[in-house]
Amino acid sequence: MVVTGYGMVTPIGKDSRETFENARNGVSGIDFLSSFETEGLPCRIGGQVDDSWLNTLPAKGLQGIEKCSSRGLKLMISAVSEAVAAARLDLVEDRDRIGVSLGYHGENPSVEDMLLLYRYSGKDAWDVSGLTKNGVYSFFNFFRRKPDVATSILSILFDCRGSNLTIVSACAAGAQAIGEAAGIIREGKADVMIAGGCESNLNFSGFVGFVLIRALSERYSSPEKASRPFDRKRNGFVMSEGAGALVLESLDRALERKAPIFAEVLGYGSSADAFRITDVHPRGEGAAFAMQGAIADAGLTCADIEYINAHGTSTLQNDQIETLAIKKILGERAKKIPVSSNKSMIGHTIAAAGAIEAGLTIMGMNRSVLLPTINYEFADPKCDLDYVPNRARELEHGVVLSNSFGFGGQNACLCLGKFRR
Amino acid sequence: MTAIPESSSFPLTDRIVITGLGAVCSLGNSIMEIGRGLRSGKSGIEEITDFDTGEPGFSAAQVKNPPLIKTDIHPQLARSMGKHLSLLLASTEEALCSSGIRPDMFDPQDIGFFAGMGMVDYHVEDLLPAVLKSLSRGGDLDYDRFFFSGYQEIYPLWPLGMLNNVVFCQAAIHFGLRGENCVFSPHGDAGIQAVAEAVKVLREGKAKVALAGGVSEEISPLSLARARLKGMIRPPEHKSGAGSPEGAASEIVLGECGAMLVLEPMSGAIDRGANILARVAGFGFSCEKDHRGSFASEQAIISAIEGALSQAELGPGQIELIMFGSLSQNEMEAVREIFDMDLEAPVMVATAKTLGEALAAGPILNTAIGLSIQDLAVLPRAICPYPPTGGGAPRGPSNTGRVLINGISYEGRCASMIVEKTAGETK
Repeated sequence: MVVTGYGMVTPIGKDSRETFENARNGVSGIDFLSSFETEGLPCRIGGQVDDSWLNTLPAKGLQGIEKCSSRGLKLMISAVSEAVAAARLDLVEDRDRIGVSLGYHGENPSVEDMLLLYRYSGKDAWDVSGLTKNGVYSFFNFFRRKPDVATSILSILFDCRGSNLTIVSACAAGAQAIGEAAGIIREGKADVMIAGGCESNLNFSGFVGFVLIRALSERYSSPEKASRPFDRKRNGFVMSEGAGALVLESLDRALERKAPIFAEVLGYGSSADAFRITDVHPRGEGAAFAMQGAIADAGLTCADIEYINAHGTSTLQNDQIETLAIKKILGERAKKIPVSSNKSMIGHTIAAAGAIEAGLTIMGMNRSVLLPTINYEFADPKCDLDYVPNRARELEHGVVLSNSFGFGGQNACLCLGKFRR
Repeated sequence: MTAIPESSSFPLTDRIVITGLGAVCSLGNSIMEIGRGLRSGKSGIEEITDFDTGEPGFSAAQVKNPPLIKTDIHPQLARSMGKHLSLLLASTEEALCSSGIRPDMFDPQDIGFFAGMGMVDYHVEDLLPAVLKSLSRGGDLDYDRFFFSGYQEIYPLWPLGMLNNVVFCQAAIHFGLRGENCVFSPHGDAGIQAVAEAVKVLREGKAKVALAGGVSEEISPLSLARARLKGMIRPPEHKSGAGSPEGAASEIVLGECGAMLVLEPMSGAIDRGANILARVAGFGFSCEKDHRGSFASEQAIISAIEGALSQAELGPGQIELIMFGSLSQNEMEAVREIFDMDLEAPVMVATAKTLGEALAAGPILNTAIGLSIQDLAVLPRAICPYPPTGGGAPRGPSNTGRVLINGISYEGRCASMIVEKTAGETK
C-alpha cells in the first residue's frame, strides 16, 4: 500500500510544503482568535486557517453544493485538491474504483441558529413549528452539520464513485479514515482511496463546549506558547482547524500508472480504552495496544520503529499516558527513539490531526527531518523521552508510527514507511 | 455441522459467520418481540406525541419504552447520550447473550467493535437556560449578555452529546470491548460498513470475535425537521395515503432502532460450539446521487448489489430473499434490473413500511429479521413488496437461503451485503 499524493491546509500553511517548512522552523500557528467573539471566555486562542487559503469549489454551477459545504469541508477540498494533483489522479479513468474515506464531525450550530431554531414563545417553551417553514431556517444548515454530506460532496467534486465512508471517532477519526481506506484497497474493493480528515470548531458553539469541559489551555503567557506537549507547564490543548488528505493505492497499480510514490502505509491498529469517557486509561493500555496492532499489521517488531509522531495534545493526562504507552511497547529503546508532537505548532485539529500528522511524517521521512516539539522548556519527570525539543533534527529514518487517540477512548495508530524501490 | 454449499463464497478458512443477533425497535425490545410483532401484522408507526412537531399528524416508529440496562454510568452522562445509549446497550447485550459469549471467554483486546452511529442532535434543554438568561426585554437574544455570562448556563456535558462516538465508547466501557474498533456515520449504509470492517478484521486475525451493528437517529424536532427539509418525509397534509404495494412512492417515516450482530471466524465458532446462524458472503459499495440529489442513484444501487454478488460468487438467481434498505423507487428499479421478476424471483421484504427507516441501524435490523424469521410466508403482505398481488404467497420456509441486504443513504451512498443462512446447528 503506497501513498501517491498528500495535501493539507493548516494554521501554519496553505499547503503541505508551507506547513512543513514552517513546522521545520518551529513556527507556531496559534494566535488570538478573530473568527468569533471570545471576550469573557477563559481561553481566547486557537489555530485559524487564513480564509484566502481556502480553495474555491473546483467546478462552476455548484451553488447548491457550495451552500451545503461547511468550513471543515472547504478546508478538506483544499487538501484533497493538492493531494489528487500530486497523485495525478485526474488521469485515472475508472472512477468507480476510486473511493473516499473521511474523518469529520460536521459543523456546529451557530448561536444565531440556536435562536432561529428555537424561537422563544414567551411561555418558557420553545416554538419549533418555525423550524421547517420556508425562510425561517435553511435546510443547508442541517447538511453542513451532517458528516456524511461532506464525504458525498467530495465524491461528487472529485468524481469518485467507489467506496465512500465517514468516520466519527473524535480525534482518532483522521488516522482511522486512512487505516480503513488502506484496508478497503487491500481487500480489493477499490483501486484508489482519497483518505483523511478535516475539522473546524473555531466558532462559538464548537469552542465553548470544550471550554465547558475544561479541556483547553487557559494559562499561557502568549498564544504561541500555549501548546506545549510534554512540557511540565502544559495545561490543556489548543483548538485549531485544518484538513489533511492522502491518496492511497496498491504498489502495483501505482507503478503501473507511473504515479509518484511518497511512502508506504505499512500497518494500522486501533483499540478502545474501555475505561472512562472523560479519562484515558491510566496505564495506557489502549494506546499501547493500538501501536502494537499497527506494528504487527506491518509485519514488523518494535525494534524496527525509528520515530513516533505523537498524539501529544499538551494535556496533562494524554502526554503522560502516551509516554507510558510508548515505554510499554518499546521498553529500553523508548528513550532512544525520537518522539515529537506537531500539535505544539499547529494545535489540535481533532479529526484532521491524524491525517495532517501522517502527511508531515511522510515529508519528514523523505527529507530526513524530524519536526520539533516546540515550547518544550520545563522537563516533566513523568515525560522523559526524547521529544525533539524546540529544533528540528536531521536524521535518516524510514519506519515510523503516527498516533491518534480519540476522546471517549478510541485509539488509532498508523505505521508508515519510507518508500524504497 | 451443516454441509457447506458448493457455491459458497470463500474458502473455508476465510469464512466469517454470524453467531448472535440483537435488536430493539418500535415493535419490541428483543428479536423475539420484533418477530412476534411482525408476524401479527403490527405496525410500529404511530403519531408522534412526546414532543411538539409543529403540525399535528407527524408519525414515526419510535421506541417508546427503551429497555433499561443496569450500568454504573453517571446519570448526567447518561442524559447527554439520550436514547442512543439504551438502544446500543440493549441490542449489544442481546447479541452477546444469544451468541453465548460470556465476558471471561475472550481477552477484551480480542473483541472488535464496529458500529454505524446515527446522527446526534443537541438537546433543547441543554441550551435553553443559556438563551433564556440572555434575552432582552423585547424577547430577542442579547448577544453581549449571551457571550459574557449566558453561555455558562449551557449544560456542561453538552459537547459529549454532540459526538457520535461517545455512546459507542460508553458501550465499549460497559461490555469491556478493547479490540479493533471504528464508528461509521451516520446514514443508511453505515451499518453495512461496520459489518464489512468487522469481517475484514476477523479475516486478518486482528480479533477473535467482533460486534458490528448500528443505531438510528433519535427522533426529535431536529431529526424530523432535517428529514422534512431534505424531502425524505412530507408534512401530514401533503401525504398521499398508503404507499403502493410494490414499494414505489411509499411514504417514508423515520424509525428508531439499535441492532447488533456477533461475528467470528467459522473455525472459532465451531470450536466453542456456537450456534452458527449464517455466513457472511459478500459486500458491495457505491456512491452516486440521483438527479434529484436525494437518494443513491439506481446505477449506484445496481453497482453495490452487483459488487456483493460478485464477491460472493453468486448469480442473481441464487438469492432467495432481498431485504430492502429503503422505500425509494431507485432501489426497486435497481432490483428489477438485476433480478428476474417472475415466479422464481426472490422474496422481497421492506420492513421500513412498518418499522420506519432506521438508517444506520436499518440493514442490521433487516439482517436480524431475515435470519430469525424462518417462515417468510407468515410475514404480512404490507412489508412484502414482491411477489405482487396475485403472484402467490412469498416463498418459505427458507432455512439455507441467501439473503441480500441493502443499506441506502440519502446522500448518494449505498451498500449491499449477502449472508447465507445455515440450518443453525454446528455441533
